[in-house]
Formats: sequence, structure tokens, C-alpha cells
Amino acid sequence: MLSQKAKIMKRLKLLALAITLLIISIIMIYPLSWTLITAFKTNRELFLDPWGLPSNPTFENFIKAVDRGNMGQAMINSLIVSLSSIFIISIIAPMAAYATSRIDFKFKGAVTNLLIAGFFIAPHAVLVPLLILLRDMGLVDTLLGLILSHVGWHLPFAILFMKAFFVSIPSSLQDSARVDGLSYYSMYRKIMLPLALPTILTVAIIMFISVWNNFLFAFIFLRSPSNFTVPINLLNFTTGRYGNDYVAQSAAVLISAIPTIVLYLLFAERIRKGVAFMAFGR
Amino acid sequence: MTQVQLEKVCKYFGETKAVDNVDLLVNDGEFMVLLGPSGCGKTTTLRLIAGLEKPTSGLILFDGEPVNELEPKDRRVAMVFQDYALYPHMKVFDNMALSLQVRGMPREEIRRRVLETAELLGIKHLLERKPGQLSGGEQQRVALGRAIVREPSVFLMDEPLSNLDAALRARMRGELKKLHERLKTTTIYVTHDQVEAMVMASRIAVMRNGRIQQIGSPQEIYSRPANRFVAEFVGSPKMNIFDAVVVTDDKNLKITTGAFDIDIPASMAQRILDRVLDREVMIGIRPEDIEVSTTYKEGYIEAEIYLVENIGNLSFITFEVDDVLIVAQAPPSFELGAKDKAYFRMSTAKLHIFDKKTEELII
Repeated sequence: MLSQKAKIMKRLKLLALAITLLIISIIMIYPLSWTLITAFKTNRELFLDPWGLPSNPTFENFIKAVDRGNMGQAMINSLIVSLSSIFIISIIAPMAAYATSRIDFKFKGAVTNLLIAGFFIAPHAVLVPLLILLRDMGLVDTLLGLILSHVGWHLPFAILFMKAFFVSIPSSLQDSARVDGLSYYSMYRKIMLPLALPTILTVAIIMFISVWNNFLFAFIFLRSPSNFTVPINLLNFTTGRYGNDYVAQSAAVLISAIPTIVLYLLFAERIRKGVAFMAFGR
Repeated sequence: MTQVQLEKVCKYFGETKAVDNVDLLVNDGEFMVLLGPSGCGKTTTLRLIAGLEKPTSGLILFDGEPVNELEPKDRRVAMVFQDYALYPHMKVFDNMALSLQVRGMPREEIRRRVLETAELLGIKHLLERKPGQLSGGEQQRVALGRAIVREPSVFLMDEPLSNLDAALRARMRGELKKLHERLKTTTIYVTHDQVEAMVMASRIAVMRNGRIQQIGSPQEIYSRPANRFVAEFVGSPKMNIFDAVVVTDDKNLKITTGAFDIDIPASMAQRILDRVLDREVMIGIRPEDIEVSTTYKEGYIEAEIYLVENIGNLSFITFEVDDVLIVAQAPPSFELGAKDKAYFRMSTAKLHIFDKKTEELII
């Protein structure tokens, strides 16, 4: 009798879980699907029937977004900023992580803590000093300034992530390399770096998505529309000339999401593992 | 060919003393085994010799020259690690060749040496594979090959067989011994496995709590252990040890445990009398030095059997006398079982007498 009751309770719990997940999924998917549908409509169609499917799907909006909404230039800018940032991060982060995990040197603890402290600072706290720094260096409204800011901002996370990897490499491997006569640099280049490549790739993907989607730094540090990256360029469609052009705006949003969606489709497993690694350390 | 010497070597990790005042001389071409339980400092001692750790105090000498400040590569040592530490992304050939490349050896010479070593170890067919594609035994050979190919002055081995299964371990034990006989390179080998130590060593240094307890040939360590720890650590089943007092009864000298007495023959009496009379001691005797009988014989002690363990070629009989458990060795044909009565006699010539306080060997 009791087990019967327990069974019913278990099923009820599963049902409640399924309903909750369904509601969350709808909340997540609804705006996306609305954007997708809207991107293929005309403005007139949108106002007549906001929820309906496009009667005559058109690519007009995408062309408009790229041609007149500066989305093409913004995509190129975003690619330059994202790829350059992750390139620099991918070179510096593994080195810093290796050194602070595997080499004994003076003030190692202090250096490590300083590197990682950056992880816990809110971006708003550094905006003003960073802006002043970039201004003094003549890098405001340049892609280079934005790239350097992203590198600095994302390094703590990348180092922390890479450290978890280097710590997991058995110390005997390093001992063995030392006995083989390798210097610290050759040890890094010949042994550690090849082993770290898959982890570096994971970090690079996560960093790419983060840099690509970053709005705040680009919004504060960039001024000229020709330098705009995708997230701030989308503002073009909410104010001014295209302020009411919801269909073009939807097309632009979809375009902006393409690289991250492609990246996710290609590396879903790696990203999923990386996120689990961040949460659980393994 | 190198002689390795440690003089009053200490190593602290913070407050912990891992190696405590170790003096050790490993002769040219010798196979020295550092034996001890985990955490006894044997691996740290090996790492000190390798140059992977720096001693807190003391001197490490190779052929009489201090090497304390030398990096591992400059000591010309080769080390085999417990987990083999093969570079997972490199082929076996590159694993073996790396140290030679670092030394700037010509490619042809590297190739010749690697092939020669691979031939010696029977791993020539594995050269193009990566470590992940090899079995444990094959990885072990590659690790060994990587050490041999460098023609080092000293081999350092840190429990290299402990990750293998029992059968392979026994085989590799023999092969390592053969290899040493052939290469005659000074070898320092760390293990917690006393069988490995007994089989392979020219000499054994038994360690405990960072200190060396005894250094000697396997036979010396087994038959004349310097203290209770060595006596119990070496030998399986371990030596029987129990508290006793040596007393005189008229003319006869006896060792009494409270549960039973052991008569000392006149030939040994004087030697024992001088050193241990009325002192609290511990008596040690190995299972094979206790004779077992199913029937009463002169001088045998009657006792109840607690446990019989037949391992095929031998039986180990555990007797319970009062609260003392005594293990004796018997032929596999021994028929009695638990709760039965049987008789045993200790061979007095094979008794070891330890001081109860210091646990050092007296006789």
C-alpha cells in the first residue's frame, strides 16, 4: 500500500518537473522563435498579425540589416575583436596558468592571488579607470583598445580554468621532463602545451562567445559607427532612423547570433564539458 | 659507473621531517633497494639523489663529488617513475629519444641507440605507437627503455612494478635483475614490497619515519633484523613477536612468556645470561623456525589451533596460547583444523631477543 503511494508521489514529482521544464523552455524559446518568424515578415505584416507566420517569407530584412544597418561592418569588427582577443588570451593564459601551478618562484602565492582576484571584480568597477587609461594611451574608439580591454578582463577566468587543467597533470610528468634535461620553457613547449591544447580550445570557445556578446566595453569605449561591434550596432535598430523597423531588427539579431550558434553546433560537447568543469571542477 | 653516497642528509617539508639524518653508501654497480612502508621517506630519498628535491642539510656525493647544487640532467641519472610518466602525446620512439635530443646528439646516433635499446627490451614493434595504446607491461618497458637509452651513471627506480598485476610483476622482477646483471649500472630501487627487495637487491636499506633502520644483504636483513620493525616488516607471514622475561630456575635458564616456557640449552645460556637476565624483552621467531606436531613429543608445547591456512605448498598454523597468537609453518598435508589440539616447539637457535623498550636486537 505504502509502495503504491510512494510510486504515485514519484510520478507526481516527475510530472511537476516536466511541467516546470516545459514552462522554462517556452519562456526561453518564445522570444527566439518570435524573432525568427518576424525576421522574414514585412513591417506591415507584423503589425497586422504579430503572432502569425510570414505569408510570403522574404530575405529583404537581412539585406537591409547588412546594407543599411551596418551589420556587415559590425560583424567584421566583432570577428577582429573576438579572434584577436582569444588569440592573445590563448597564448598568455596557459603560460601564466602553467607557471603559477607548476613552477616554484618567489611571491608565487601573491602573484597567483592577484591574477585570480580579477575574476571577482564587477566590470562596472573598472570602467572609468579603464576608460581613462585607454584615453591616455590614445586607444579610445579603436578596436585595439577594445581588444586589450577584453584580454585583460578575460584573462583571470582563462587562467583559473587552465590552472585546473595543469594541476591535474601528474607531477611525475614534469619530474620526468626535468630528469630528461628540459628547461622550464621547453617543458612547457614540448610537453605541457601539446597536452593542454584541447583545454585551450575549450577556453578559447567560451572566451569567444563571451567577447562576441560583450556589450558594455564596446558601448563605453567605441564612438564611431565604423568601429561598432555587433552588440552595440544592434542599437542602430532600436533608436533613430530604424527605430521602428522591428523586422530589420529581428534579422540583425539573428545575424549577430550566427557565429555563436555555429560554434555551439560544432563544439556542443566541448562547451557542455567546459561549463560542467567550471561548476564542478572536473 | 658511479658510487652514490649520502652523508647526514635531512629533508624537511615545512615542519615535517621526511628524511632524517640518512647515511648511505651505494657502491659502484650495486643494486640497492630502499625498502619501507609508505611515508617512510624512501621516495623522498630517491628524489634527493635524482636532484628533484634539494636536501635541507647534508651532502649527496657522486663518486666523491658533491652534487647538491646540480640539476637532475647534470647528475646523469635516469629515473623510472611509478606511473611511468611517459609523455602521452609522443610516440614511443620520441619518448625514448627526447633526452638525447635535448643533449644535442646527432639524429643518426639517437636512432641507433633507441633501436638498440628497443631491441634489448623487445619493444621494437611499439616504437610508432603512443603510450595510450600500450598495455601496462609495455608502458613499463618503454619507461625502462627511456632510462636505459641514456646510458646513465645511476638508475633510480620508484616502485616501477607496483602498477602491474602479480604475474607480470614477478616476471618483470626477474627481467630487471637480469638487466642489471648485464648492464651493471648502479641502481637505487624504491619499493614497499619486501619480496621484490629480497629477490633483486644486492643490499637492502630498510627505512622507517625518514630514518634508515638497517642496511645489509637480503639474507642479513632476514636472518638478523636489527630491530623489531625490520623483523616484522621483512618476511611473510611476519615474525612472531611476544613479550617475555628471561629467568633462572636452579641451573636452568628459561624464557617465560607467562603462557609457556622455553628452555635455553646450556650452550646458549651464558651468552643470554650476561645480557638479558631479568630484563623485560621481546622474543621473535619466524614461522618456519617453529616445528609443529600432531602428537606429543618431548619439549613440545600443547596449544589449541586458532586457524589453519593452506596455501598449496605450505600450511600456516596459528596457535592460540592464552592471549598470544603464534604462527607456525607446517607441510600442506597437515590435517588438523581450528579448535583441535596440536603441539609446537620453537627452535631456540633461531630465537631473536629484542629489548622491550628500545625494540633493538639484543641477541
